[in-house]
Parts: sequence; structure tokens; C-alpha cells
Amino acid sequence: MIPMLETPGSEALRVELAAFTGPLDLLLHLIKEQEMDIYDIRLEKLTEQYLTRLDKMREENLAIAGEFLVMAATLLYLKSRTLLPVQDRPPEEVEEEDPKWELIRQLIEYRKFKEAAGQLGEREALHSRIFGRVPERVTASPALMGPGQVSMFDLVWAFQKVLRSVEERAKAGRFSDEQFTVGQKIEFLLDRLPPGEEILFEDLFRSMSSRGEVVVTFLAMLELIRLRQLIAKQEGPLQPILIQRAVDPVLDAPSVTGEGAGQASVDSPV
Amino acid sequence: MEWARVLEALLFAATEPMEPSRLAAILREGPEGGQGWPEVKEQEVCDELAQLSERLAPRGLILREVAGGFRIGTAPDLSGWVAKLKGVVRPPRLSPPALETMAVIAYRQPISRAEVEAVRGVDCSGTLDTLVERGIIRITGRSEAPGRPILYGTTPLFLEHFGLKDLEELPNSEELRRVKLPAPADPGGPKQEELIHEASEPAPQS
Repeated sequence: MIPMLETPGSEALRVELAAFTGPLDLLLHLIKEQEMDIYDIRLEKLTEQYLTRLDKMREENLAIAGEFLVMAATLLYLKSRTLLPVQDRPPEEVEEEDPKWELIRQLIEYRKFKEAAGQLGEREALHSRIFGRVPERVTASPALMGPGQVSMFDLVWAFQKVLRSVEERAKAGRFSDEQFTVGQKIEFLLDRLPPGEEILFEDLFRSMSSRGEVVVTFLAMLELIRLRQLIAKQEGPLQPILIQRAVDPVLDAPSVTGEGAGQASVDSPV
Repeated sequence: MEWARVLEALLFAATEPMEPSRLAAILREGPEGGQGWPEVKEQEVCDELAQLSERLAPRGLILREVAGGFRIGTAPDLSGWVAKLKGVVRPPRLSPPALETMAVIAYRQPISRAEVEAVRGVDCSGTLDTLVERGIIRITGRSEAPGRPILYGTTPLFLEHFGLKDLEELPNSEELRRVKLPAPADPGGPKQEELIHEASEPAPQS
């Protein structure tokens, strides 16, 4: 994008370089351009061409991905190796097959997948022109939330805050390898909150020091909200969230806490 | 066939590919509080689907067999017109790097990131994340190889996005699945080689 480099040639080159998905792609292009046989690549020529491309990329101020440089090093190594007489090679390499074959094998393998990707791309082009019905997006409308009711987002936000403080406590060196189940924590919550009583959301987790315990307790809480045993309340936006045990679960069933939280607890993959 | 109209309505209203078995089940069951056709067989539904496809051919709609089911869509040559409608969005096409990554996963699933990168010769974490986010691939489990790397595989949405009936319909699938995979960068003896081979068996598509 630097004006003084703007020449017809550089424009073409920029387009071309952007089109390479990696060093193997560039190598395949060069092999084709030089009309080489992939099984009989001329390393010297290929390395020279490759490095020239990289130089041009640098001149263009293009960010060169690290993988391109690693490939340059590999090519130089392979080239230098051809210059060494066999007896001067490091002893561990004398027995091995020519490492050039490793590169050739990789190129052949890559070429197959590049072709497959091209065919997939053609299919995609055709099928992206066919429109089908899509599921309607279900969005929870904030307007439906009355004062005093807590949305799932508020709960999750409060929960994240609790998780952060637990992680602080865990760093302070309190560890526990106890296992917790949602069932246990449901009992814990019901014990902790007799009907009609309420507690600050954060206070429910105050004694806990492991991430697992907090997550399981939160799930238990969501389940109880879904079952309308618990109600999440809030005085107003940004006010602390209160968790209240329902007096009569059947009659005392606020619509938003029950519905919203219930769905979310079912959907969330934990 | 009197239930042919029902079939058409179901396919039109559906928002995902419908398997013939599922369509047959609905036809047998009947509408809410009404009478169905208890004798309808899956094969009859398949035959009717083939006829429906022929009837639609000269019209503005097509019936495609994708991802193990049947789906009504607009004819591809009309895409320019349909795109003028408000609220109609076509899924964006994948970039060349994403397509390459996609190809390697499609033929070699389940496969780890290191194995994809060994084929492509570049870092693939970004494209893998994009593909997972778009729901075209998913994490299918963990490999038994050292480090227990996460394995990726395709989803039914992959088949739909590329208009494929099943994984067998992938072009050159025979050849590409057979090719030996270059070993990932970390050191691994013959044991790992074996595991990779095992891991590259095609996953059953749910």
C-alpha cells in the first residue's frame, strides 16, 4: 500500500502472494512455473526462486509468516547437503534416505488436498446459490423483563464475578479434591434456604474455594429456579441479585425467572 | 398419492434436511388429533421424493438430497433474485486456507490440529477456530497419541454447506483417505504411526 512501490509489476505480485496459503503452496506454484517434475525437483533452482519471492515480499513490506522462513531454512539446508560429499555428512544421516524425499512426499500429499479443496470450493460456490429456509432467530427481548426480574444474562454475569473471586481464593492456596454433584448441591441449597428466606447471590458461594464446586452449585441453583423452588430477584439494574426460596412453588411462579433460566440451564453444555 | 401434498408442505416448512424415515413416521402418525396414513412405507416416500424432485425441476425450487435428508431450496440460477430479498442471507464462503483445512479434515477425520498442520505446512489454529465457530466442524474427542490432542471431525452442516449426501460423496474419497499422513512435528515412533492410521478411519456421521 506504499505509493512509491506502486508499479504494474508489484500490483500483480501482491495479488499473487496473497493467494498463497502457505510455503507448500508457493513451492508447488514455483515447480509448475519452472516446469519441473515434482519427483525430480532441482533444489538449487527452486531454492533460488523461493528466496527471490521472499525478498520481493519483504520489499513490498508484506508480513511474511514464520512458516515461509522455516521453509526457506529447510530448502537451504537441503541444498547445502547436496554440496557435501557423502563421507562428510554427519554420521547419523548417512544411513537415512535423502531428506529431500520427505519434502517431495509432503508436496505430493499437500497437492492432493489442495486439489480436493478446490473441488470443495466449486461445490460450495454452487450450493451457496441455493437458499433454504433457516430457523428463525429466537431472541430474548429485554423489553419483556419487568422491574425486579432477573435475566439469564444478569445471572451469568454475577456468576462470572463469583468465579473470578474463587480463582483468587484458589491462588491463595486453598485446594480441594472433593467431588460435588448437582444433587448434593440441590440439597445444600434447600437446607440453606428455608421457604420464604432470601440470600445475596454472592453469599451462596462465599464458603467455596474450588471452581468445580461453584459451577456445580450454580447448576443446582439454575435447576431449582427451573423447578420454581428458587426465585432470582433484583431491585433494579446493576443492583445485587437476591436468591429467594419460594413459599409455595406452584402459586409463586414469576414467569421470567422460571422460563428464561430453565431454558438456559438445559441448553448450556457444561 | 394423497399424502404427496403433505410431503411437499413438510419439506417446504422444514428448516433442516428431512430423512425419508422421519417423513414417513410423520405421515403414519397423522396431524395433531387427526388421522394419518399408517400404511406409508419409507420406500414409498423415497419414490415420491424422486417424483417431487422431477416436478420441481422446471420451476423456481429444487429438491436436494443433503446430509442424509431432503431439503427444498431455491434454484441456483435464481440466486441473484433471491438475494434481493431483505433478511435472506447466504452463508459466507470459506477462504482458501479454510477450504484447505476443511479438505484435510473431511478426508482424514477424526484428526488433530498437528496432523492438519503437517499436511498444510502452516499454523491452522485460526482456521480451525473459524470452522468450529461456523459449526462446519466440531471436536469429536481426544486422540490416544501423546498429549491426548483434541480431534476434529465434520458436522451435518458441513454436508449441507457443500451439498453432499454423505462423506462417501466427497470427490476422490477413496484415494485421499488411503494416502499416508505425514507424521506431525513432535517425535513419534512406529506406535504413533499406527495410532494415526487408526484415527483416520472415517467417523460415522450422526
